[in-house]
Amino acid sequence: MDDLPKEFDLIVIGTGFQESVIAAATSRVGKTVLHIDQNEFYGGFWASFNLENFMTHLNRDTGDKKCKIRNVSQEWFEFTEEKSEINGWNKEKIISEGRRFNIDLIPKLNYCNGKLVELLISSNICRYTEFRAVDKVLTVLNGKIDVVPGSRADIFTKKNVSIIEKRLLMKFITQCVEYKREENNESFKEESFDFPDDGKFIDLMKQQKLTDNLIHYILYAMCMANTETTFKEGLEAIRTYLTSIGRYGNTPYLFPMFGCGEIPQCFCRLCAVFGGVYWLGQKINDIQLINDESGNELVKMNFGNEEISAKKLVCGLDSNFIDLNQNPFEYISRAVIITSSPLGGSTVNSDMDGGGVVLLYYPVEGKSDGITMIQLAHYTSCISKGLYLIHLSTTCQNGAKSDLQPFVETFLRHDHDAETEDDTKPTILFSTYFEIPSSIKGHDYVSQQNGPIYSCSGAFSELDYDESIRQSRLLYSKMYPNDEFLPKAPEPEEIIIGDDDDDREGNVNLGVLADLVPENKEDTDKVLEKEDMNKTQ
Amino acid sequence: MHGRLKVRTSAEEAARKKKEQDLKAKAYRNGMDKIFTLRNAENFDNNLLELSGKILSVNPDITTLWNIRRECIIKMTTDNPDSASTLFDRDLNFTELCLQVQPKSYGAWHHRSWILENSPKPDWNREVSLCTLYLKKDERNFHCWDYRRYVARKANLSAESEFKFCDEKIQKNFSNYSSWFYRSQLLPVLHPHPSDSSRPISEEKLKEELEIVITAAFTDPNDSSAWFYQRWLLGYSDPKLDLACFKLTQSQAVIAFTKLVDLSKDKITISTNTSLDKGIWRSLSGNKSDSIWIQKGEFEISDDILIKMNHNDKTFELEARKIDNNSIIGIKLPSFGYEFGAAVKEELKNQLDSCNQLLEFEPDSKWTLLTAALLMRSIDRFQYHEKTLEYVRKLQKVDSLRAGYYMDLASKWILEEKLKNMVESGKFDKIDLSSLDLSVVYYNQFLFIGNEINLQNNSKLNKKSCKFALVDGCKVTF
Repeated sequence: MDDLPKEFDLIVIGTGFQESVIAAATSRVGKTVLHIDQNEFYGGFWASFNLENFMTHLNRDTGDKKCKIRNVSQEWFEFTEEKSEINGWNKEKIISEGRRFNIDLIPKLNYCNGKLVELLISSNICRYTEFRAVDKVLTVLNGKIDVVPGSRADIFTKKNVSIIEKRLLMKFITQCVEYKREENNESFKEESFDFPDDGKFIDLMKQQKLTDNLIHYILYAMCMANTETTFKEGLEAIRTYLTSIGRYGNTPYLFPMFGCGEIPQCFCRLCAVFGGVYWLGQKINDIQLINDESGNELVKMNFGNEEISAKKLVCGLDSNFIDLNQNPFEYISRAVIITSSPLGGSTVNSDMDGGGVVLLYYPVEGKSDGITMIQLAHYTSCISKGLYLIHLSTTCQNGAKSDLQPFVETFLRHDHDAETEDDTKPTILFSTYFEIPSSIKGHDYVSQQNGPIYSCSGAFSELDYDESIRQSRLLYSKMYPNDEFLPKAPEPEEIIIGDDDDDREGNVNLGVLADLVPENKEDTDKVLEKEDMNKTQ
Repeated sequence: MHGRLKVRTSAEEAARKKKEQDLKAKAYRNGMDKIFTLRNAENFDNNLLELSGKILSVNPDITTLWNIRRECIIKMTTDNPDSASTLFDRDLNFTELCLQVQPKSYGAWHHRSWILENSPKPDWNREVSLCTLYLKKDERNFHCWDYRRYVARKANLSAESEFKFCDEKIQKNFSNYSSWFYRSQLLPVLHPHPSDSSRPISEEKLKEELEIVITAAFTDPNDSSAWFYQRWLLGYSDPKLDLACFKLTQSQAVIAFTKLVDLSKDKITISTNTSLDKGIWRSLSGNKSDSIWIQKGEFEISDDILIKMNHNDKTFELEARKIDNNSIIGIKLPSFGYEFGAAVKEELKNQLDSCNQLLEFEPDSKWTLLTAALLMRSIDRFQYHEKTLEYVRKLQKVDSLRAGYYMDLASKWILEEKLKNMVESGKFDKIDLSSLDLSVVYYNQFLFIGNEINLQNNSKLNKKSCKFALVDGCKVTF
């Protein structure tokens, strides 16, 4: 690191989602960025690991750090001589395959028409990442796992929904998309709902004569809401759902291939393309605020023998350098479970391959948010073929194990009995529980920050990245009020190669037609002559 | 600025794009020139294939170039028969390349079928797999569906497997005319009606299909593809050829058919064992095809006549009776649609119940009203006559953009009822069609039978549709 510059416009500590977005945005507009992570890996609380590193990471000694992963427990299925394997898998085999896994600390999905997808496209960062459309959305209806008829094709083929219900469902969701309160058009009003904004969404559905099953599908599966959800909130949720469906697949969600750890990294890649410097595994000793000759505040820090200064500094939630009183946090209860058969068994998996990515939202009585289950099969490159990675998350209330127990005890099993097998309940081969810090939705993290040291919020307890993106935009506009936030990155053909200015017009790519361009002057003249003739004709 | 990205400005990028376009246009013109020069000189060789290939691979829609290519391949294989299989194989791969550029290129799909028809060893199964692949990418590419039906026939694929394929596509997205159509082609093969050849499919299958189609219709009523399929199932197709009506007076004979025929061409013979068999039939309109034909002359009104029509070795009969000293008439009440069996009727009734249930809280839903009306007519068109008219009159209001269509539909149904009553009563002399709000007159082939037809007080009636009024001796008042 001999030629590392000594001054930067910005230093970012931590490679979590928001830190990476800020780094990319700053670098993109031509500022110099040094992006550091004290860990040896990218992502902080947003990272994905293989099995071995995942366990090492959870169990590592974090000293007296306040904001850290806590209450970690893990358990393997007790393989015995009689039960030496389940569907061909035992502990040794799973560990030996463990390098193929990508286990997320915080698994998330994106709405196909949500803020992350919009940002990835508008900034052209999408080229650094790949997604898989979620294959299936499940719900628990009358105690049984059921496939949610989300798309038009699902509604058409769904067997236990009567044709009248199909009509009611389609009509209701279409009305939700078209509903506009401001519209003064009389004919429009007739088609619209006559319902107060703060009325309960469930009451609107009852008013519209939707059956209990339909209300369940809409409220718990499509909106991930509850009985207290207002009309306004419900409407917004169902619109997000509906405008996302059919864009890339039969469900409204995308999951990143190779795990969610890829998401912060693709922002880092853009930062690096525009000249950002990366330094991982670097311990930072101290940070000082100094004034330069003209009296401007500078951030100075030492690591090793280096002394580096920057006009601004951004710290991630896991960096140890942020004021936790100003940036309060809570926890998400998490479980990571490995099974060798998919959730719901043959009743919801016609071919028993468990699909690629399956989402299930399980409402919990007396809790505002339910348990979110994301099941990954090998198509996501997050787990080996034949195994299923089940992620459970919910906001932490009584500790991970107790918070997630209602789901685990109902839909999974600890024992295994091939004879009396109820194939809807997969056996838990491996499970780990932990609680991971997250930021509080609705808390104002940005307006009190005046620099030059800024702090990022962590993950929010949300399915997607929308709140994190909103916070990133807010923070960035606070730091650089006059700079555009992640404008479109150039396409490869717009980039000038070499220092030569002759390339300003660039090489044109004619493909197979290249050698048909008239070479000598005579040919060109002939063609041009003919063109003239055509024109005069 | 070491290590920083240098990016073209948008003006520079626009200039680059323009330069690229200009060069492409020049290359295209130059290439076309060269191709025509070679062709005029009859230089049919690899060079010509290569040149046309370059341009087609960028724009596969130039039919002329495909023609030249075929000309070239024919010449080359005639001169050197050993090269045939290489040439055909190469061109087959080439069309695939073009289809990736433009999957809806008429020229490329057609060229493919030409190659296979002319190739010594066509691999039809490979073509089927290709279609499967393309229809996975775009399940509504009708070029590909059309090509699939052709290659599936050539590959002797079973109707079962093709049906399964269609079904998967419908389940994925039922807005697919091509797939519904293919379904309607396959079902009569797989599930023919055991006794009635005029019915496309068996009652059991019909019941299942009706269920599928009402499900699609309830899921997304604004998608018309399912409606068209429902029409097919319920039998709104062309009537079969038959004798419809006959009237003989002292000065003329009029014979009518259920559909348009050309008596000079269609190999239809009419025999009555009277002097009519020697005379000449002329169409009422003067057109080559007509449903009403007239023979002028002097005829004796004596005995009843049995009219026999022979067409494609099938004989159709119509009995005409002498009703008074002036005329002999015969009429065969047409079938206004299929007569369904009990099980299908049961299903239709269930569907009607669902529609009516829905109408309770969506009383103005136009597609529910229309389906309900059509279902009622399929169950028993005359028992529900008044109710169906009520629904259609309502549709004229709630779907005013299509009011004319609904009025025509009502006119048709009214006439069907009148015809039925007329035939049942056996009174043909005076036909009263006044004040019925008719917009159009269907069943012209039956109406000339009357001597006086009253069409007064139908303010919206299209008089041009009353062709029967041209028949002599038929007094029509508007």
